[in-house]
Formats: sequence, structure tokens, C-alpha cells
Amino acid sequence: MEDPFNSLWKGLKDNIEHFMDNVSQGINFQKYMKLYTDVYNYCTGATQSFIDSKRDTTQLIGGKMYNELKLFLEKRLEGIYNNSKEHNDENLLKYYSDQWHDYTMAMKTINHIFEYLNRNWIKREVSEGRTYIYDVYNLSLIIWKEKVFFNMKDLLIKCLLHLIEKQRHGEQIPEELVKNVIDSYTLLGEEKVDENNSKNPDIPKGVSSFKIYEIYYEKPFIEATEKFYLYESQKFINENSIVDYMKKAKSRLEEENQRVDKYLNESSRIPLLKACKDVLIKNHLEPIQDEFTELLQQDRVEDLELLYYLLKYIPNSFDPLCEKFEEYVKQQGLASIEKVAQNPVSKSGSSTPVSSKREAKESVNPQAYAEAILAVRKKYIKLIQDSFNNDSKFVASMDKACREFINKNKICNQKVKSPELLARYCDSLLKKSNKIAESNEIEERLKDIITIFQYIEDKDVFQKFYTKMLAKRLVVGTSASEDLEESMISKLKEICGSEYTLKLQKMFQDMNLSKDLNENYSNFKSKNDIGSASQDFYIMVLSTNCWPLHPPSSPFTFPTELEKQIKSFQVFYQKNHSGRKLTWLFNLCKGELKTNFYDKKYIFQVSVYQMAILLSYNKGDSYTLSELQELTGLNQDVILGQLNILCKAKVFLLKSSSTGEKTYVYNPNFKFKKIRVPLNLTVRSEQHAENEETRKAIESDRSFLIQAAIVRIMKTRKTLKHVALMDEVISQLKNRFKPCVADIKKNIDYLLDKEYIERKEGEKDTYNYLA
Amino acid sequence: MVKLTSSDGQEFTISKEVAYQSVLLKNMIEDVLDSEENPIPLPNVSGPILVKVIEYATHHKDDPVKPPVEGPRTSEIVDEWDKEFMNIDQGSLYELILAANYLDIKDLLDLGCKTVANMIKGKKVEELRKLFNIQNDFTPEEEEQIKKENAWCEEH
Repeated sequence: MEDPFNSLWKGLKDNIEHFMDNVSQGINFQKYMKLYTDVYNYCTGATQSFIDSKRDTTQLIGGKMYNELKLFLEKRLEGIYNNSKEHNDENLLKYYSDQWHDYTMAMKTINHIFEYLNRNWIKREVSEGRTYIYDVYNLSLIIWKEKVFFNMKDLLIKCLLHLIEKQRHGEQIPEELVKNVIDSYTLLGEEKVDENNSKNPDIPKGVSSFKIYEIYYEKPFIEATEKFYLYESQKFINENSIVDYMKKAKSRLEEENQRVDKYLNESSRIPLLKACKDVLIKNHLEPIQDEFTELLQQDRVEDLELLYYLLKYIPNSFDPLCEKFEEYVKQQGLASIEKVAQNPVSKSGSSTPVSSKREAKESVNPQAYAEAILAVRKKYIKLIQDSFNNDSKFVASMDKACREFINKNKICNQKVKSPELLARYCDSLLKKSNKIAESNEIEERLKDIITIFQYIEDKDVFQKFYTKMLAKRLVVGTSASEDLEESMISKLKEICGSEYTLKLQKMFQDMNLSKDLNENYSNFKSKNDIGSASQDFYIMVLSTNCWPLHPPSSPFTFPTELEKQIKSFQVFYQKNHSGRKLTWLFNLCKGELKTNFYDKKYIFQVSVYQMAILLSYNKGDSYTLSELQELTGLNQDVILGQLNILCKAKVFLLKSSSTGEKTYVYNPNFKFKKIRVPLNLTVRSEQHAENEETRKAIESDRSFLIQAAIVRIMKTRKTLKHVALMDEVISQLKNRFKPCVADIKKNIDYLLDKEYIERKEGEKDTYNYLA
Repeated sequence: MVKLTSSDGQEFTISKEVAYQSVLLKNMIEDVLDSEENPIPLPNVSGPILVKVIEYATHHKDDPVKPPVEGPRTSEIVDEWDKEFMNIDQGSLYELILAANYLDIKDLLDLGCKTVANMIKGKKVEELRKLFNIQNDFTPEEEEQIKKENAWCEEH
């Protein structure tokens, strides 16, 4: 009697074969169910039970069917491979792709038809550790791999690479076909290999596995890619400009990136692009880097962006560029500042057209200077944004360059340095005379100043001048807005800490205290019936240690008209603050005088010194220099400065007396276009002397700061080597200024002399702290 | 809609949702481009049993996907409807189990097996022989030997 399995299998096989031969026609329900039921009946034992009633019921049925199926598929795929030999090139790919498509389509359905086998016999075998048994679908892939893929793989890759090379040369290729073939590599998945090299594909001992795609497609593909671009890039760079080469390289990179999207595995993106970048960029790094400065010089923003785009893939390739960038920005800054230095904009205003040599030197326009710096900085910040993706490395280089050219430039070699110019620019903005209507605009410019300020090394110099000018603004009453003043101070505070702005804030406090004080004083006056109706009087009391103001350099006899006011205030103030010493800063006092003797009733705005001089003329029309000196008590330098202004304004006429002495005569024909006549002008020589003084004061302040730092450090360390002490002093002071080594040495010597510290015995370069 | 024909030629029309409870039907409907008009023959399932299967599948068609059961599996049937549904004669029970296995409806297969397990629970050997109509083909010696070996499970 024939084994019922044989006839069952024959029917199954014939039907499956027919189905596989005509996949596109599909299968109908009737047949599908028949085949499924056949498998089911066989596996549940219904088929066998006639002949095999004594079988072991704990064993599942299916092995025989599995083996037959495997044999059948193997034979079928051998045929498919044999037929492939009739095809070449693209046709071969097409044949492979079509066969693969039909086969996998059919096997998906066949896998379901054999589902009962999968679910029972195969599942049991696998769970019992027989790893060479697979479910029907995976079995079909493994057989394909053995019988078709491994036999064809060399030809396949050759054809694929050939097509891709054609595409790189610009030809059209059937991308869909390439994709289908490559997808089969992925689907074939992993290949297990016996490391002991036994040539048995079923179950190995020391198995290792690799991906079919990676070994048989990706590896040869990337090798071919490298070879292709190695040749092309060398040829192209020899025949074209660097910029053209960069453009070419970029478009090649984009093309390869798209290739991944079109028909490769996502996993290939990184290795493929890395290979391309190595060949296209890394191999030609030097000529590309060498192009950088030229592109900078020509402001070729887009080409620089391109260069950045390419080089960002290569580690450390920016380092030499950052150096070049720093040097270039520095040179740009220096050149721009030099231009400002060469064209000193003469200060607009009514002062004398004659200017001394020294004035010309100092009259670098602070605004032009600041704007020159900002323009350079803005330009390169924008470049970094536009071309370098805001790369922090380039930002750091630019900052370094700015620090260099702001602190060491043509103008800094002169007396007036960056911090002073900056402070002056602030002053001009914060004064009422700034000519800028919008306070927003001033605010913007103050922000710009802060930007530069951050690069300034000698922040103490800025502080000194700023304080000085602020004092002037407050005392003279020329500050434009308290809000702006405060906003500037808070900006400085943000950068340098509250200690830096402590005095500045104290100055504002004094101003407010003075306001109250004057109110109290006028109450006091009205109670005690002091003062005259024709005199307004306002006084500021400012603490000496906060305000950079100096007592008058000349003695002064104040006019009798003021005597009462001054004395009564003294009484009033001492009554409330008996311990305090008041110093009168007549050199800063000012007032207004009404005239009665010209055709118009002019109001003279004068300094108190001028007031004393002018009040003398209530009694006479002409005085000699020595007479005026005697009346006012002023020394010659000061009184001459004041008189010069009055003569220039034609209030007085300068004549020579019979003895040849300078005589100042009242000019009855005085005329001025406005009622208010500003006569309280700064005497130029005084201004220079003051600035000079401020600069000197900075020197001595620095000595104190250095000494204080040395003592502070030595007190905590007790014993310290010379070099370490130097380093610590520099780092402690770097927020204020950059002390020079010679200055530190000088102050160490001074402290040695004063016995704050001593040299350690036997060790030349070590100091001890002396309590 | 899906048309089914039972082994005894009865035709049923059910919704796809209901049909998809069976992995076999789901796979087939997805694999085969046959017309919906053509009935799917089920040569291993009789009409009355197919009625039961459809009843079960219809009742459970909206069930959420169950997470796999953790820990030891029990034969306890939680769902009251399921308990009532399985209250059928033994012959139908066996046919229902076979149909669930054939159609690949895992939940119904589990339910059937649990029901049988509950029938066995707490019964003596002789009772089980009677219940399942099993002839005793052991010799008395063999039986004694087996009882000895399995004495531990009689303790409770």
C-alpha cells in the first residue's frame, strides 16, 4: 500500500508549483483552503492514521513534509540560477529582480498555507534547539541565498556598480531596478558562518554572523566610490579654481546623500558620506584652507560659507583658519582705527580756530573711534553668522582679535587711549548737548560702548575718566537724563561688579541729599530773615572721597555781594553737621548776572571768578590786571584765563596802560545775538592740565592697587615664590587693568623697603609676609 | 463581507472584523485576490459548530488586544459569557476545540482547553475513564506501579 503522504505531497507540490509559475494570477479560496486543509490533516495525523495507528502520539508530525518542501524549493531555485546564465548586464539585474519579486510574493502566501506546520512541528523543533529549522518563509529566503544569491553575487555587484558609475557620469539609469536588487540584499539579512569553517550550512558550532548587505553590497560599493572620486577630484582640482572645486565637492556630497534616499540602506549614509568627505575634502584640505584668507579679503560671504560647510566635517580643520581669521580681523581693526587717527575730526563748536599741535594730537573723535571699532566687529559678527553658522570657535577668535586691536593700536600709542576715548564718547552722549532726540538711540549707542568696554583691559582708566566726567555733568548740570545715567551705571555694574560703580552711585546720592539740603536751607533762611530777594542760591555738598574734584588752585576773595549767603550757609551747615569740614570749590561755581547798562538786558552766565571780576565794574570802567588780581585775590594764571574769555567775547577791551600794564576796559557797545550770554567756558589749558592729572592719578592708583593685591596675597600665602606672586597679582587685577611686570616689581621693592614683606633667607626668589 | 461554506454545505456571511478573529481567514483574505462573492470552503468545520464559532467571534470582535499572561496559567474562566457559552455537550465541545485549532482562533482554543481541564479537575481515575470513555488497558501490576510512582499527586 502506498504511503498516503506521497500522494498527498504530490498534489500539494503540483499545486504550489503551478501557483509559483503563475504568481500574478494568484490563487482562489477553493484551492487555498484545499492546500491548507491538506497540510492541517497531515500534521494532525488524520492522513497517516490509516497505516500508522501505533505511532508515538507525543511526537508531532511534519518532518517529512518539511524536508520535501525544502528539496522542492532547492530544486526550483537551482533552475532559476541556471536560467540566469542567459542574461547579461542590466538584463541580468532585471531577471534577478523579477525572479526575486515573484518568489518572495509566492512564498508569503505559501508560508501561510503551511501555517499549521509553522505553528506546530517547526515551532516545536525550534524550541527544542534545532536552530537549522526555520519557518517556511525564512527557509525559502535561506534557500534563495544559497542557490541563487551566492552564485550570482559577483555578477550582481559588478552590474550594480557599473550602473551607479554611469549615473555618476550623468546618465539615466533604472533606479527602481537598482533599488529592488539592493533591497533583496537587505531582506536576505544575516548570514551565519561557522568560524571553524566546516562547509556545512546547517548548524555550525562557533557561529558568527554578518549582514549580507554590508559585506556583499556596501563594502564593494564604498570602495568603488572612493576610487571614482579619488580620480575625479584630483583631475578637477588640477583643472579648476579652488572655489569651483569646492562647489563641485558640495554638489557631489549632496548627490551621494540623495543616492542613499533613492536606493540605499539608511545605514550606508554615514559610511558613504565619510568616505566621500575623506576623498573629496580631507585629501585636498591644504589648498582649501589656503584659499581662506583670500576669500576673506574679497568678502566672499557665500564662498566662505561653502568652505565652512565642507570643512566642518573634518575634525580640527578650523584651527588654522581661526588663527588666520583672528589675524585678519585684527588687521582690519587696526587699519580702520588708523584711518580715524589720520583724519582727526576737528571738534565742532565756537572755540578758536587756532589749535596747537598738542590739541591736534588729542582730537581723535571719540565717536568716530568707537564707530570704527564697532563697524569692524559688526561686520565680522555678521560674517560668522552668515558663513560660519555662528561657530563658537570663530567667535572666540574674533573676540581675541578685538581685544588685541582695541587695546593696542595706533591711537593707544598716543597719550589718549581707548578707555579714555570711550569715556569721552559716553560723556558726549549723556550730555544735554548730545543732539540725539531719541533716548532709545542713545541707549543703543551706550550698549555699543559696553560692547567695546568688555574688550578693554584698562577698565580702571575708563572708570577714572568716566567718574571725572560724570562729576562734571552733575556739578555743571549738563546731564541729559537720570534714567540714561542709571542705565549706563547698571550696565557697568553688570560687567565689573558693584565695587566698580560704588562711587558713581554715591555721587548720585549726594546729588539727591543736596536737593533736600537746599530746601532745608531756604526754610532756615526765611525763618532767620537772611538773604536778599535778588539772589537765587543753590549749593551742593559732595563727599570728598567719592568725587574726583580738586580744591581751587588759586586763592579767591569772594565778592561782598555773596558774602552773606556763604557765611549763613556755613552757619546753617555746621549747626547740623558740626564735625564736617566744608571746602569751597569756587573753581566750579557759577552764576548769572543781569546787566542794566547795555541796550538790551543781557544775562551773563559766568563763573564765580568772572562774577567777582564783573562785579568790580559796578564801581569803575577800567582796571589793570594787578588791580583786578588784588580785588579778586586770584593768581595770575587763573585770572588771565578768565579775562581772556571776557575779552574774546568783547565784554572788555584790552588796552595797555601808560606803564605798559594790561588794562581791561568796559565795552559799552557790547552786542550778542541772544539775551543769555554764555561766558562760563572751560579754559583749554585747564582742561589739558586736568586730563594730564587724571592720567597721573591713574598711575598712582594702580600702584596702590598693585600693593594692596600683593599684601592681600602674601597675607594668605605667608610664603610665595616670585613667579607665583606675579601670576596671582595679574589674575586678581585683570578685571581692572593689565599690570605690567615692571610695575609689579617696582611695588614689590617698595613693600620690601617698607618691610611688609621680606626675602626668604637663602632663597633669592621667595618672599615672606611680615605681620 | 466574507462568505463561508461549512463541510455540510451551509453558507454563512459574516463581516471582515468577525472573520479576522481567525488567523487562517485573515491570512487568506489578505493573500488571495479572489472575489468576495466566492465563498470560502471550510471542509473541516460542520454547520452547527461554525454557528458556535461565529457566535464566539462576533461576541469578541471588539475585544482589546490582550497582553500576554504573566506567571502560572490557570484554568479559571473569568468571563461569565464565556462560561455560559461553553455550557454545551461533550461532543460539541470537542468539535469546537478542533475547529478553533483549524481556524487558528487562539482565544477560543484556550477557552475550550480550559473547559476540558476543569472537567478533569478533582475527579478520580475511574470517574475520568467513564467520563471520557477510556478503556483501562493496564495490567493490575502496571497500574499498581504507576500509582506508586504518582503517589505524591494523590495527597490532596
